[in-house]
Amino acid sequence: MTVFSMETDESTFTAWSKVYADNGPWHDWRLYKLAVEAEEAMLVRDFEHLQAIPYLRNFTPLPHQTETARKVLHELHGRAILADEVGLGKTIEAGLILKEYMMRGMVKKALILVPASLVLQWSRELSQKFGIRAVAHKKQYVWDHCDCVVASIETAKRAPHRETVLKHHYDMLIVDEAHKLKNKNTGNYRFISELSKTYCLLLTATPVQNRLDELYHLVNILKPGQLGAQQQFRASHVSGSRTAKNEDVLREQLCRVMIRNRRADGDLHLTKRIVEKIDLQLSPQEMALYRGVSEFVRERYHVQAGDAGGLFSLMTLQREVCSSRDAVFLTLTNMFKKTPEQSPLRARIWELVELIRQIEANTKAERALQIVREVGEKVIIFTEYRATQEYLLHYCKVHKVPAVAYRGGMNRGKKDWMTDLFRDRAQVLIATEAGGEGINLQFCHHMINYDLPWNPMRVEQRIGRIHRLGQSHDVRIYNFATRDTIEQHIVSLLHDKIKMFESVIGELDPILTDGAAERRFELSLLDSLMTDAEEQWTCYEQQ
Amino acid sequence: MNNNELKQFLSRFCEATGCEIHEKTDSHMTVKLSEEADRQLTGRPYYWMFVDRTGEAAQTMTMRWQYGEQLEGAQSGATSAGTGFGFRLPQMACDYGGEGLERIFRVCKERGRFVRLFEHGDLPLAGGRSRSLQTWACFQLKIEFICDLKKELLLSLGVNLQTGKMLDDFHKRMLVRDLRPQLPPRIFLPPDVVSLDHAWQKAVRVAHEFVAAHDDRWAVRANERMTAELEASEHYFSQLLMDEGKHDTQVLDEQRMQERQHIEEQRQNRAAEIRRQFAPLVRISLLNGGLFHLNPASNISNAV
Repeated sequence: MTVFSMETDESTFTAWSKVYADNGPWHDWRLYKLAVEAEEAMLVRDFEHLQAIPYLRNFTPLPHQTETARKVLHELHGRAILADEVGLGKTIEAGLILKEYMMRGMVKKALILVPASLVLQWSRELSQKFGIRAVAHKKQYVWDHCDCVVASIETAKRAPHRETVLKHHYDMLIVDEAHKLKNKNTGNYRFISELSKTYCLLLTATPVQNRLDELYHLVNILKPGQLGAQQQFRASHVSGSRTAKNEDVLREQLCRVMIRNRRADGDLHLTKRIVEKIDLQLSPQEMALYRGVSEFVRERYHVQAGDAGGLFSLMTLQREVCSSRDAVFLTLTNMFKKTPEQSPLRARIWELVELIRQIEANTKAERALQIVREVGEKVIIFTEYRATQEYLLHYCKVHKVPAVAYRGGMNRGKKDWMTDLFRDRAQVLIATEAGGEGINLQFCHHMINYDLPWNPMRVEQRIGRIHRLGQSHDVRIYNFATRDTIEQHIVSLLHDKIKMFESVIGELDPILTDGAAERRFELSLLDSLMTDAEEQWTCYEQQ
Repeated sequence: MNNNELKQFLSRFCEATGCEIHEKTDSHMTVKLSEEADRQLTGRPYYWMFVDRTGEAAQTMTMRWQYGEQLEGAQSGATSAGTGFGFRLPQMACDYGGEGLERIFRVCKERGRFVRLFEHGDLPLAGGRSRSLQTWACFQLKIEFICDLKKELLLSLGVNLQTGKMLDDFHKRMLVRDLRPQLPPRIFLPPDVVSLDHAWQKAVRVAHEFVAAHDDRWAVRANERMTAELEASEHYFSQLLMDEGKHDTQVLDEQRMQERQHIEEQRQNRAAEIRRQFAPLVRISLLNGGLFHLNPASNISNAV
């Protein structure tokens, strides 16, 4: 019985027959010999050996990168989640795999979908490191005429591009920052599932962010059914949205679709990560504002009769108080403007604004400045709020500390410029969340998390900006949390999520200091409602 | 190919295509392209269309082929100093596996497909009559073993068109001979007994036999992988359709129909994807070939 099919390509012989019948024109013997040599040089001599490695001229991949490429080709059959920790070179691994398939003549048409801000970076890196001509998408014709295209998923999924892209078959699809595909109800998710592809690489350092289902959906893009039907998966692995069961079985299944290299593995010579939790006590005036806002939140929650979405935005107020008075002031003013003039709510809001006026100092800012002065080296401060960012810029200026800002809305050129300024001139970089992806700041090794997001993986992404290959110092992380406020609750929530991640995906480098002792925190009303609001938050994030 | 081999290769390419080498180092060479090479390598069809239409004298491009390590900073200096031009020369990186070299390789393969050559040198008189040569057809076959992995090999088969005799490693045997495109003087070419078509069929048959005798565990394993993936996918989608079915106890409304159709489509697409990825296939194709008129006295059957 034949176990394979056979195909004979007669076209070249047909052409030859014609030349033979006409007795010419015959080709040059020298070129004929060169053609044979060229073919021999490019010949894929065995199934196993990686062809591309010896011929990368400009750099040598690290052992874990080569090993990852080998595994993806031979054990995962070209469909994989590359889930290395941030900073270990997932781009290089993906490039290596793409190059290998191209050199084997198995991939011709490739599509690389990355966040818009990284399109040029990818295109440049593929060309410099691998000699792959990956064209950054600019014009419509690129889809049809270029073999290897880099584009943002937002562009690709929109008309008129969508139809064109879906019409093609891609031998290789690479999606960077693939954790954005965690929700199967989004347009992005459907689009990626519908794309016709042979080989597929999903790159993310954080395959699970909030819930285990996200992982299920991610795997389903690669291999629908690899983890069984969804009910079955839930029944056998999910015991709560943030806890897994039968982890061993799950982990083994995951091994067949996912590769994760850790900084701590092997001989990567990565520096240590030292995490310090900075407990802060709000000043009496700040605490008064916090109490006032909490009281307000509670009232409003009762009035709105358990609308979790509303609660979520109300809780933002509490978090903003913990960040800076500027942040909360901005939100309150907006709220005030939206409230009808005769509403009693206006007076309530005004009371809170009065409380803001009482505040003279910002506890966190003072502490941050103290740290900046103590270390005397470059420091990155991450905050969730634009208003806090502005405030800190001002605060640094007043205290004669050279500081620059960095945020998502800046275009690539401005971002690069800010990075340069930070490296050459400034001591402090004040960044908001959205600025976190894709920048590499190995020249700095201090980071202050001025306030913490709900999602631990976002913290991991932040830390990954400085704790990556090329960092020569131990990295120090300072996590700010104010006592007796919602921030303490966030810390304990982050701990739960990290636990789930580790039970399924594997260990994480420390993001937080061990916080078992902090669980006793109580905020009786909100505690039970938090989960609701957080689910809501998850939905917001995914939209 | 290492850098040195690449350098040799490119030099020979220039010689064969009539390009002039202006400068040659261990890391790069500066080449004034011939018209033929320019048309095929520089990708400027509009320029050539213009030249062809207007009859303008063609200016072929001078370019720099980089094959070795490029020294930091040395690039611009060497370029302007080496050529005497004020401007930077267009560069083409000749990396193994890169686009530039790929293009050169493609030119070789396109322009070196079919040859007809005659062996020169001392030829014996065949039984007092005029001198004669024997005709061989050579087929350079590429055999690809393809699943989600891949392996390739080349088979060089020669078929004697007078006797039908077949030899392998034929190309290597040709390399040591004095072969030229011109017919030597006073030569008799006996008529073919075996047609070229026939010889081709014979070569293909031998290739098939070769493949059949080849270890086929790779294909067995690829089939196993394919079956496993197909089963998992099938199980998943039928479950999905079943769950979908549970909801509609009463009616199948428009939206539900669409959903079912969507799932059905995905199921078929996925199955097609799996087959495309894993289904083992052996493909035989002809790289190039030629007619070789050889001196019957020189012992061609000797082991290579």
